[in-house]
Amino acid sequence: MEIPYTLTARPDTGLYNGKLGIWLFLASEVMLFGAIFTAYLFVRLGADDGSWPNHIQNVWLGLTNTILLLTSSITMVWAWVALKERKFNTYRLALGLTILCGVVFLGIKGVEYHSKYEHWGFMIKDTEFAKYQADLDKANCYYSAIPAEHVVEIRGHLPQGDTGDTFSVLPDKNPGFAIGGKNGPVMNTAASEEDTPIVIQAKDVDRHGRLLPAYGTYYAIYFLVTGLHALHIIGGVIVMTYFLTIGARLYKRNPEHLSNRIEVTGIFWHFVDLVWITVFPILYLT
Amino acid sequence: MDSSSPTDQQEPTIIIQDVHGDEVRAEHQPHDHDAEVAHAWEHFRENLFFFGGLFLPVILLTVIAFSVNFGSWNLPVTLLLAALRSSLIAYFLSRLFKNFSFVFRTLFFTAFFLTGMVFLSLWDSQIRNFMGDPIYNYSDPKSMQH
Repeated sequence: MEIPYTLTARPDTGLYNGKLGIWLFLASEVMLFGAIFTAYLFVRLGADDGSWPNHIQNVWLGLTNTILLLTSSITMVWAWVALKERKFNTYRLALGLTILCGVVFLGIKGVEYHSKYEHWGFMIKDTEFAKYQADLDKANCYYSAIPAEHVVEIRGHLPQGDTGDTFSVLPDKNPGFAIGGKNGPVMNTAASEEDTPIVIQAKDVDRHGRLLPAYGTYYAIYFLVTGLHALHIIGGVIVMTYFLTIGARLYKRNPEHLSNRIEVTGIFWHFVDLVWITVFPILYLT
Repeated sequence: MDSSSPTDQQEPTIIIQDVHGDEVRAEHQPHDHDAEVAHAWEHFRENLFFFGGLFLPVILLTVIAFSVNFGSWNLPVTLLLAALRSSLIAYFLSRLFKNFSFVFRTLFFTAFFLTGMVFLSLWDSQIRNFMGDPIYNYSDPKSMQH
C-alpha cells in the first residue's frame, strides 16, 4: 500500500505529510524553548542586585556563530533550489556547506564551554573585601557587590592554581562601553599574562568555583539553553549528513521526494537559526 | 563519486507516489516544473533578503548598540531593538505559513494567542508578588474572608 500525500499537498491542510509532521514537531519545540525562555525571564527578574553577570561572554565568538547560522540557512535553501533544478552536484555542494557551518558552530561552542571551565568566580566576604579593593581598582579590574548575599564577586583565571590557603587570581578587567564610557572596549575583559595576579586568602572567600552550572543561576540557564540548542544543531547535522550520503540515493528514484525531505529539514534548520537569534542577545549581550 | 551515483543535470525517472486522483497527479506533470523552479528561486531570494539583508544588519546593530552608552536612552534603545528582532522573526514565520490552509493558520494563531494570554497572566501574578490564586492574598489573612 502506498502512502498518500508524500509528494503533494493534502487539500484540507495545504501541506504534504512531511511538512505537516515537522510543523507539529516545531510546535512542541516552541513549547519547550518557550518554557525555558519564560523560566529565564522569571529568574532574571528575580535575581538579586549585582548577581547577574555582565560581559561574561565573548561577543565576537557569539557573533561569528550567529553569522555562521544565518549563512547556513541561506545555503540550506540553495540546496533545495538545486534539487528543484535537478542539479545534484550543486545540491551536494550547498548541503555540504550547510553541514560545515553547523560543525564550525559546534566547534566554536566547544571553545566557549572550555573557556567557562577555565574561568573562576570568587565570592569574597564583604567584610574582608576592603583589603583587596585598592589593588583591584589600581589594575582596573572588575568586581560586583551582591548586598543580599553580603559578598563581592570577582572573576578571573588561576594561573598558579590553588594552594589551599590562598588563591593567586588574575582578575578580569572592568568592562565598559566602547563609546560614551570611561573604561576600555567592552568586549575584552580578560587580563593579559603581563598583569600581576592578586593573592586572595581562602578564609576571606565565601564560595568559589568554575563558571559552570553549579556556580550560579545564570550559568545553569546558559548551559541549559545553549546545550539544548547545540543538541538541535547536532541532530540537524546528522540528518543532513544522511541526506548527503545514504539518503541521496532517493534522488535516482524520485528527486521530488528528496526535495520535499530537504525542504522539511530546511524548515527545522530555520527554526534552530531563529532560536539562536533569540538566545544570542539575551545571554551574550547582557 | 562512484559510477552509480546520480550526477549533475541527470534527469531521473519520476515516480509519482500519490494515488489520490488525477488532480493531485496533475500538480507534478512536467509542464509545471519550470514554474516550480522559478518559485524555488523566488523563495531563495526571499530567504537571502531576510537572513542577509534584515536579520544580519539588525544583529550587527544590536551588537554595536551594546558597546555604546546611551545613558537614559539605554532601555528604550534595547526595547526597540528587541521589538525589531521579534517582528522580523514573526514576519519570517508568517511567510513560512503562507502555504498553510486557512484552518491551520487559524489553529496556529489560536495557539499563539493562548500562549500570549498564559504569559500575560503569569506576568501579572509576578507583578502582584504572588503566584497562584489571584483572589486570595496569603500574606494578608483578612483578604481571604470574602
